[in-house]
Amino acid sequence: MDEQNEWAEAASLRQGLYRFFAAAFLPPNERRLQELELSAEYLDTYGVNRFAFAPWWFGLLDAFKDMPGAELLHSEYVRLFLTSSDGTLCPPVESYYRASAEGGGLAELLSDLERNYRRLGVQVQPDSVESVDHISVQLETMAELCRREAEGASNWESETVHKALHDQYEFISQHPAAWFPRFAERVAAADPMRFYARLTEATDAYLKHEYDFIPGLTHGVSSGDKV
Amino acid sequence: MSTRALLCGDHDAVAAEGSDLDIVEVPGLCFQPELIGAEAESADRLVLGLWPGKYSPGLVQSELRSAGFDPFGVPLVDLREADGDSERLGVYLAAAVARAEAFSGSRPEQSKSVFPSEVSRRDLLRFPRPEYVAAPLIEVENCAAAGGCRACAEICPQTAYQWTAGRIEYDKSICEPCGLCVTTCPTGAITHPVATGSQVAAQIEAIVETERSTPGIVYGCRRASEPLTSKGWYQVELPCAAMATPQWLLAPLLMGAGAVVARPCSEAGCDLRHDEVVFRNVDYCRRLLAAAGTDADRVSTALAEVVPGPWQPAGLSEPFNPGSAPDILIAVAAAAGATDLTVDEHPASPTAEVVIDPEACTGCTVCAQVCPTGALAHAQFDGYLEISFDAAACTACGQCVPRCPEIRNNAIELVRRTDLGLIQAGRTVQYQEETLSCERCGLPIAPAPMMKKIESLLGPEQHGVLSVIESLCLECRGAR
Repeated sequence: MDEQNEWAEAASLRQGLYRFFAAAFLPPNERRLQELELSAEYLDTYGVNRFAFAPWWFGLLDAFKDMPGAELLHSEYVRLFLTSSDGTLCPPVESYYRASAEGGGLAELLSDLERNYRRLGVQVQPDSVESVDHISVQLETMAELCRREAEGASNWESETVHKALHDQYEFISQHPAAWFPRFAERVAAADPMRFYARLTEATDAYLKHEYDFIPGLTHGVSSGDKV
Repeated sequence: MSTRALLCGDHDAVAAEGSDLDIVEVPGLCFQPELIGAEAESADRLVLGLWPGKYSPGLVQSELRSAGFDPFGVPLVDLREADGDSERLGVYLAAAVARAEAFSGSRPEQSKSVFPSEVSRRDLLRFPRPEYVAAPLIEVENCAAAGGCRACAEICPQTAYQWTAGRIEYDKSICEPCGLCVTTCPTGAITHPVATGSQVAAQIEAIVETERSTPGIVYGCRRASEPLTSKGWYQVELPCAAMATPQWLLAPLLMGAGAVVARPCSEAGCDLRHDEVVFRNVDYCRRLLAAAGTDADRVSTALAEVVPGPWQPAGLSEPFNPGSAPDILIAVAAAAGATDLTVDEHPASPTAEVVIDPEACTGCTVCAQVCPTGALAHAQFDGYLEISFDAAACTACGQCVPRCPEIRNNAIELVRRTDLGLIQAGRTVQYQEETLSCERCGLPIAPAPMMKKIESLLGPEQHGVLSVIESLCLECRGAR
């Protein structure tokens, strides 16, 4: 493996992890679950153990082994994320945790998010049923920014890499990292089946790791530029 | 629970007597950390003996994760420190096992990735293998920031902590996890996965139990480049030697160690330069031991050629916990046969005396509200407000003084001095003033000096407002 592909490969792995977590928070069905399980095994071969969030990732791999059937999981998904019949609702959307808790209005939060998507040159597909503040949409956005980083690294373009990392840090700190821990706490308390608790734990560990890791990577590229 | 030690090379190491430690010597382990997985199979806990400089920490951490271990829970024994002595290695292994047993897990936010500080153009797009160090974490439910405490923000040399509106914000990116915040926090709300009081206590206990003669304990920095090979002395690694408070320096003596050394950062080759804190803490302990009429050299910054004989073990239950100072001081006095123990004002004193000037204090009780340990407390009795102080609960954090609104008038003074008599005296009333009561509901409104202060602030033209404030409590004023 040559040096520049090493960086590109790591960025692709991070992209893959974001895409994996994004898909895992969509409503489950037989096919999606099979794809997720295969993707998890595939991603694992790219050296997830290098990163400190690996223990929580391994916990998620174990959860796939003990996963209940798609039908049961779907009803659990509906109970946890879509309805509030038993008062355990944990919506995987930013506005639920921030619009009320931090005093900002829902409209303000959503327009801020839309503005950020426009600035980054991404848009939610018109046929998407998920709202713009859904975790899957935010994780897909991070995946796209990692893809840009990987592309820049493959072409030896340090400026592209630097910009992609800068955008990643801005987006993760303004959005998913700012609300996901609260969501994860609620899921941990409300999921007796443990599959979604393991999934949110692993996603939470990954996001916390990225929040710490991206500035270090950015610094590495910046320092290199000055030499 | 089975514990295994994997040692790089051939050492003839023997487990300590009574220990069920399984020692496996693996030639080339430093260069082939991928062997960890197979060699650690079926072990519940792991200890590694490696040669610093001959292995990649990032690679070792990766292999430990793959093998199902939290790298922060796997103590590393620096094989250079055994100095070819299998008995000495046995002591270090016993200590590492004790530390591993006392490990209680880490959380995702307690990992801090470390990247090379200088990156050359050649390295520009080479992906660095991350190495992780353990970072502190605030347990919000135990944090006293809501009351105004900001002891961590005041001690942190990197200003990684900021107090904002009753909350502490922590910036891991600028934190050089030295652990000063951990031992400074008056409520023990800051945890560090590899430097908890119980881990340090377990390690020292194991060293004392395993070493044939009386050992000396050396608090060393994890960044130290030079190994410690002096006979009789054993290093207990900390994120920084400066996090060893006077309690941490004295506790090993009360556990059976003969002497304690805190290695200054400069001597250990560390660039954090917290020497001043190390010297200050050691100096306090020396003064205390001298005041107790015993050998002050038992605590030092330099290794003695021979470790002195043991002191009288005191059987303290949790000597490394915050708030352990009174127990330790009492035990020091008892061990030295001293009836009285005082150390004049000293910046490292772990206890203090708080004095309130009744002439300057308005009875606002902010000092008691901000006090994280409840050493200062306020209560209302029969038309009187009382502020009391209990030296045994005071950790000398000093949060009360800068928060006092009457600081310019020296309404409250904190003297960092040690006085066993004061500690044993219990809670004493520092301030007592009559309180005005509400004419309507009878509840207290404010102490008389506070009302006087309000009167002076409002001036004579606001007499009408003042008469309402003086006669009705806040609730009844609203209901008027």
